[in-house]
Amino acid sequence: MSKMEIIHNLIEDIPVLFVSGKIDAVTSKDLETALIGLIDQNKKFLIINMEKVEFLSSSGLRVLMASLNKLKHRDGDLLLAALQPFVKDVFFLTGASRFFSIYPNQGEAINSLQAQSR
Amino acid sequence: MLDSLINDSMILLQAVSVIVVAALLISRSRYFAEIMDERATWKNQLVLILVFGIVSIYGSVIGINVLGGIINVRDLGPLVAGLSCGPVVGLGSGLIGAAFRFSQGGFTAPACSFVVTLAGLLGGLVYLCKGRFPSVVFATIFAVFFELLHMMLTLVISQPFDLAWSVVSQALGPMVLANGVGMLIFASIISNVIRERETKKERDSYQLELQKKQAELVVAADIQKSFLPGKIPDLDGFDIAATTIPAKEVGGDFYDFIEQDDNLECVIADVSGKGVPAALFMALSRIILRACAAPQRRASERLRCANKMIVDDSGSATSGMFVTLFFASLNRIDRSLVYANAGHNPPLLFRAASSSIERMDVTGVALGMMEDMEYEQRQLVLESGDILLLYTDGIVEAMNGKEEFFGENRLRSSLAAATELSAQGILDSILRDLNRFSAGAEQSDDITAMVIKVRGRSGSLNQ
Repeated sequence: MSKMEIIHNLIEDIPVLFVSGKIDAVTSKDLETALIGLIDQNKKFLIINMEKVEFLSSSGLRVLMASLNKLKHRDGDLLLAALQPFVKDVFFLTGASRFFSIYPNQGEAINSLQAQSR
Repeated sequence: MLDSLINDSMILLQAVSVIVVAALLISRSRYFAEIMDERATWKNQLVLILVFGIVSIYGSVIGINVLGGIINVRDLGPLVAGLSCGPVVGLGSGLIGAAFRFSQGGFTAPACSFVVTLAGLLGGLVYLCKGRFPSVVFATIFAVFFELLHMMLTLVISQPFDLAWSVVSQALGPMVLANGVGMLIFASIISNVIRERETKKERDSYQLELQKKQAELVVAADIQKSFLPGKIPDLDGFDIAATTIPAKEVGGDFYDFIEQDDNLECVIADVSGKGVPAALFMALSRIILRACAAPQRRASERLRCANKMIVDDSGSATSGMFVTLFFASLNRIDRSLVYANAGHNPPLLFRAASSSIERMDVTGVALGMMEDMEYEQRQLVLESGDILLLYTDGIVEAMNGKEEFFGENRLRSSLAAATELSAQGILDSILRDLNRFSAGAEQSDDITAMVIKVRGRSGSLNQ
């Protein structure tokens, strides 16, 4: 019923997770595993492309918050791209949008990281 | 001629039957199971040495006539013993087989005794290399090659060579065939048992996991239930109703009432995540909000204090946990309401005078997300007939069979249609509409709601 897929990509040396489907109490565990895996590889910057995420529950937002805090702790960041209306509402309603760098699409997220590293 | 062929076939069949029965009995025995679980003791090893030793002795005495050669399956027992239980059991049973063969005498006795010992030892070495019983194909090929080795050693060791040559040349084909087939049978049965045990182990651990999960569900539900108010307080001029319907895996919704002099504080909240962690976080949040109570702190100060304590004490920054919470303080005397909203679904406020519905918007970030957050507070005055509807996302995110959300618009219509009812009546009516909408689709999140209706001023004042 609740299905989510994660595709790992490496674009310009930046790990990008392309997530699709619903991030709920069940699937958020897989997202957490994927994010912790990358964080444990000592990655500092991660991008999640959420273009195909149609639902985000509080469990999912918790996983994103935890990863964001870990990355910020090592002066990194978690960038979010292409939030759909429902997902955007969750971020703005809870106020989580104040802590994340949110971009309209994946390209702009990558550009901003490259501009920072230059 | 025909008689002897039938006779030989019967003996062959008997030998096969004995091997099958022996394989079944051994592989299903407690001692074998213990060795498979890597719990080898001197006792279970000794028992298996004896049993495989007897299989080896049986293989010596059976003496089957196959294609004109008298053959034996003496090596089979120790080979299997070594392959399945390691070098100790292999060597032990090999020595028993060797002792018996040596006592039988004959010019091939030294060679055959040596070879049967070697069978147990080599089988055991293979086990050590592989760390487990090899595949059926491997075991069968191993047995075939071992019999070829057996024949070569007989030729090398036995004197005179001519006699040895005539025995070996007659027995070679049948011996390889008989031991190969014997191993095929034995190995198939043992592999089967090993596979069954692995499947059972997986099933057991899965069931254990399931039981744990179910116990957790019960614990989480108990925690949640024990932290809800026992009864709804009476407040002059207000009619109040509240309920929570936990999902199968509880999500940490809660509501609370705190009485402070002339004020009644009403809280509704939703903790991130589900299960025991959410339930514990809910209990903590509820206690912290109460601990932050002070007469002068009507809303924004309360949430500021609660946020600080949650971030400091719960490690929520690491776990990412947070709680969305709406806090309202109702004054019984002047019917004023002060509220602050920490990232919670905006409650709806029905204004009787204009028959319109307003939202009580977010005034700050969900509690626990980040330290040092500010929360605005808003104040308004309630009039007779006004209705406040506080709810959690379990209502607006309830789905029907077509995967559509109930949504805020349906909730507004539901409220608008029930404004003439009592608080409990409004609550029931909304839940009925929600039920009709979701029509049996599984409830995935807690559903919590509170309705506060302002009564008409009694007698002497307004009416």
